Amino acid sequence: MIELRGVTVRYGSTVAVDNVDLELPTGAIYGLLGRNGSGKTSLLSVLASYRKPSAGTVLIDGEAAFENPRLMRQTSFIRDTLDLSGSDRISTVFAVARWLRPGWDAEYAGKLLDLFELHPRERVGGLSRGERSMLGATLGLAGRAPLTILDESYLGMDAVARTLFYRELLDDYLAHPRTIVLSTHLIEEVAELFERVIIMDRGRILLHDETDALRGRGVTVTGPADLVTAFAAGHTVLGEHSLGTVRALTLDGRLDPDEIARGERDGLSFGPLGLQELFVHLTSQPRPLEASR
Amino acid sequence: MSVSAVLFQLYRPVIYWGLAIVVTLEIAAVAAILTVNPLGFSFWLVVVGSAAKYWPLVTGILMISTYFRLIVTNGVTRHEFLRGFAVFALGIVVLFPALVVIGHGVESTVLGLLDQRGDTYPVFRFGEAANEYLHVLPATAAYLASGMVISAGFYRFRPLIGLLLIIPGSLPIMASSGLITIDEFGVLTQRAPLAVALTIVLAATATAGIAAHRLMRDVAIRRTG
Repeated sequence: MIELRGVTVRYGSTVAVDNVDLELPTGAIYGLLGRNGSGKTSLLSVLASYRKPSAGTVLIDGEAAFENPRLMRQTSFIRDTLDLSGSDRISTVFAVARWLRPGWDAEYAGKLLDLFELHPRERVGGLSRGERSMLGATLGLAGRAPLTILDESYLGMDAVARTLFYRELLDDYLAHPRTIVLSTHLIEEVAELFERVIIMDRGRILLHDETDALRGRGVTVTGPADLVTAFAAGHTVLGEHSLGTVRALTLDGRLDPDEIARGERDGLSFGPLGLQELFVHLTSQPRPLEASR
Repeated sequence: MSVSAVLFQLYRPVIYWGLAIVVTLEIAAVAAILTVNPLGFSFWLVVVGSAAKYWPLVTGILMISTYFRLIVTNGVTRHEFLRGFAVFALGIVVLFPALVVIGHGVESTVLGLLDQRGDTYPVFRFGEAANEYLHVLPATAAYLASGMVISAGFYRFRPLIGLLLIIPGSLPIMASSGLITIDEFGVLTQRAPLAVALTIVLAATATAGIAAHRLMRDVAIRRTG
């Protein structure tokens, strides 16, 4: 179990992560979603012990994670910028991983290099944005760390490379189950991979739930404005659109089938809310979710 | 593999290339000088004597600015890195001055056999080897520690603060340069009794090492790009 207790990250007067409490059962793929500046990377940095929290603590299997040799060995955090020197060749980067990472699979790393069409003699500084991301993905997957964190690691990858990456991620996860935390903005594209989703906003955890539970969570109700308004009474409204006398409301929560049937009889139409739409509604509100109740 | 072994593996090409360059330079330059005059100074002490200061300085800087992040992001704690670096640094501090003294001995012997020592050439004497070694070692240790702590200041703080920390960070260099030196003519200078001078320089070096440890022991691993 990974536990974050009262974790706060401050940069001067800016609070990037605000008193976060979170429990993450191990052995699952997590999607960490949040807008730019929501605190995702700061939270992941604390989780990987790249940064000491300003307050609070991170526990993994009951042990404090910061500067814990055993837990550091079991954690791999791949950032979008890569923590490598531009003058190093890929072969050198792999050699360091082989020397220091107990779970490093050199054969698999070579296979991924072939898959992404990278050459071991290439220098990191000479790689394109997408190729650097492919290298990061390779380091993250071939490291086989029990806690693997990939922070926007698809950046710059083309559609083919991203598809290959998702496929490899899933295949390798199934073959070598571990905890993977994936931070991304391409929500719909990656949503199928997530077993659980964490949504951050303004340094706080807005939501943490199983992906399947979230998929059916939101509903869009469309119809005559007065009927829609009446139907929405008592529900949490995430967003609204109006065009003439037609109104569309996005409601939070799972609706009762009888309630939907009654609405349809009244001439209302209902549509599911995708994960990305839910995310947009939850994080684009000027007020906290509770305030819209 | 231990951190010190990884550092050695990563630094091995630099060591081999550096050695190859200075040996080639020594042979070529000394041969060129001998076509005109016998050698009146030790070219080895000029080149490798300087390298025994500036190469450790650069190593100290690189260890923090480049290798620290590379190693820690491969699952090593800051403390483990600093401990491994201390072992690696100890190797440099012990071996580099030995290279200076041994090279001087070889140069002196070869020139003697060729009868090409000038009047002012510092003839190597086995009885003086330990004294020569002890006049090189403090500078090697001091420059390395200064490079490390100055780099740690820049790594941890804003550039302006890092800039200000250059002054206290240079104290080991100032102590070694002011108290105990060797020049290209083999003149050993000490402005205090050897034991006192050594103690002061090594104390300043140890203080810089402790300061670097304090700066780096919980520092955030910075992003690049």
